[in-house]
Amino acid sequence: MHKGYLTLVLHSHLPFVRHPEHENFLEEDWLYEAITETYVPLIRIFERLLDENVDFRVTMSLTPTLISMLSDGLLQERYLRHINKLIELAHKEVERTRHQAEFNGLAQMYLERFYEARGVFEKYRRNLVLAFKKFQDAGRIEIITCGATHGYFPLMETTRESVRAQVKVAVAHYEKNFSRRPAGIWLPECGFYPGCDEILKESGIKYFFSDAHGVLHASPRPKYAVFAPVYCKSGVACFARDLESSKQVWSSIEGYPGDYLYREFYRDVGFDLDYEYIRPYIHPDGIRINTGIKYYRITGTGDHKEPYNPHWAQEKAAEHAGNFMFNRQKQAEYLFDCLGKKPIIVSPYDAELYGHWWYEGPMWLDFLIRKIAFDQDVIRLVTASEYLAENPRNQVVTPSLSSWGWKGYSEMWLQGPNDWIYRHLYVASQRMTELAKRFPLAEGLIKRALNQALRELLLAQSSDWAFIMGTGTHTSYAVNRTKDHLLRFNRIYDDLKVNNIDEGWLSGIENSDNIFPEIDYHVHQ
Amino acid sequence: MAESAKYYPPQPQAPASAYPDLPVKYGRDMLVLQVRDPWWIHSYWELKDRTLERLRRELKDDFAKAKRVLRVYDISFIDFNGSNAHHFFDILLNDHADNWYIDTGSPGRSWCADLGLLLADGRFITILRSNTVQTPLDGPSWITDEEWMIPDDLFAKLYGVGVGLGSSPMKGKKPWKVHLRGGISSGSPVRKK
Repeated sequence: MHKGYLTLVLHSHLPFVRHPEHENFLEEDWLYEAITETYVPLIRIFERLLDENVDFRVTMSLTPTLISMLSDGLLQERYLRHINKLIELAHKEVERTRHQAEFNGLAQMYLERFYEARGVFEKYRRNLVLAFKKFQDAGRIEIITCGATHGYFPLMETTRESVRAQVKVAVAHYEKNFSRRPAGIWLPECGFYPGCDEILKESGIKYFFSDAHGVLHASPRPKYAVFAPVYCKSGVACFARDLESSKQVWSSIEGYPGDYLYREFYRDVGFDLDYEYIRPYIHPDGIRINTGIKYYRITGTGDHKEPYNPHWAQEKAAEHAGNFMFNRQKQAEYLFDCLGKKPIIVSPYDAELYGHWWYEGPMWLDFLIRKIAFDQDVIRLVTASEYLAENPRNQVVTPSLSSWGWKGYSEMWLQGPNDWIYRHLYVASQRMTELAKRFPLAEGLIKRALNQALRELLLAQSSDWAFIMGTGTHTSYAVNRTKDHLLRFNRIYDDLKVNNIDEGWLSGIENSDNIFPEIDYHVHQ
Repeated sequence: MAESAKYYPPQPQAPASAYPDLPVKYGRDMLVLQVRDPWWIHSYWELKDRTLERLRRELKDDFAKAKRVLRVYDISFIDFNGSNAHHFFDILLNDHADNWYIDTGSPGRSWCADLGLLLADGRFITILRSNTVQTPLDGPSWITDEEWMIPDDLFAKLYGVGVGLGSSPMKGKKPWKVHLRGGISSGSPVRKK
């Protein structure tokens, strides 16, 4: 008999970055890297599991901005260009290392990986969303939605209409892409404030995730701590993160990814190799970037690095998967005895941990899923929806305001480098509501302007910008994005006030900020 | 998210003068509070020139001698009518301030604020009143529900397990104090260089 449930969640998000005005744009690389290093490896693993009839459950949040980019023709074309360049580089690397057995084997490995990435990409008609849809339709993964542009809700509490718009736009976009309504949502950054669940309920959402203290500090106290979901007064369920299982994977000190046999992220040929040789494969401006071809393992804490050995790394990944499973079993057994009820252990991670930061991550996940399926019967993989179907009676509490960000609340997005944005977002949000009310039945050019205004506002609200400003690195892009979208919004607002919209200008920004083609400005009230 | 530690060399920046900027003022009266964490709230505001002008005309000499103040009220569990707060404290502002971080000193309370003038004779004139915010608790609630009761020590144990501190009895029996001091947060990649 199973003693507990395990819910694995992979949160996959990238902010909307699309620059048709530039041939090459550095920040678009985030998408291409994620496709090559995270999404394709995960897709390959799920494909094989499906083909071999291995039962498993994984929850994935695919954010609307990510889905939009994966389905965008221009970015798809640019990805092909990107992966073809990598294939070219890998060929050269195979040639360059032909007398160095250790490195040559690795160069071959990367060449195969890049061909595989291109193959998978083409197989799904260049739209990887179709792959994840296939796995959901087969009942193996549950895809949940997220805020339309990953706006951080706790700092939008003063402008509830914007929270509503973030949710409604996301749900409509999800429905269009997956032919069903989303049952769950990943709150951006797990950012919850008491009351936002009512907005979720309006859109038919049944559950969300919070960080551990969101439930542990709920009022009244949760009887099962984080090991059962709770219902908000609205009836929407909240599943809280289990930090024990998170630590094993995330922690830079205790976690698996730091093992010395795993691949070293910071030794990339983009930085290591001769400038003239690598020049065609880094940024056209000559700035060195990560290519994804890395030849060394972590080895130790110092700077000395040994060549990567994929077989040793694979064995280690299998060992770590076994260890993770063993720990979850022990945890489940202990809690089952304590609680008199089967606990649910919720383990959410940023998807890009798997493959991008932790190269062996996807392999580890594959081992874990298979071990759980074949080697034991203590824990069972479930989705939150399945858990609620089997366990419909849960305690009613008000979860605490919380996030899974630095220090557990909102400081990451509200500090010196980024606090200036909020007055502008506040005014813009109020203006958007004013516009939605002032034009209940807009048509033609005015309707286009109103819809574009909402797009600009949503894009300005991406928490990614404030986050990047907060980290202090590479901030000018984030500052410019915030300003650009707010300035465009304000211009539309001013133009609507005097009923003088410049269609040429509007068409231009409709073309570049082309997210959510079917957006309906009415949702912002 | 990965962005926090992606290793990007310095980017060429657009010259500041080439960049149009957001308005310094929107020409409205507004005072907004938002919550940062259990102890800190943040306030930002704007006053119309007209509003200040009106006050200057009405108060004449008193205006020049008055101090601009943010008065922060603890209005937990009450309907605030302007004078029934549990207590309040004043923050002296200079004329150029347009936002402030406020250390409220106690978690789990409701707050609102007035932007006002403190006159020399002690009178306080409210110019604007903010929205109300509620700060979260910094630990488990003391409210327990009869129908879903759990003994304290078992709750402490479960808390510890849930936040990765293991299941053995804690010293002091307050694992939330340990938990919030160091956690695993988003955006922290596996290893920073």
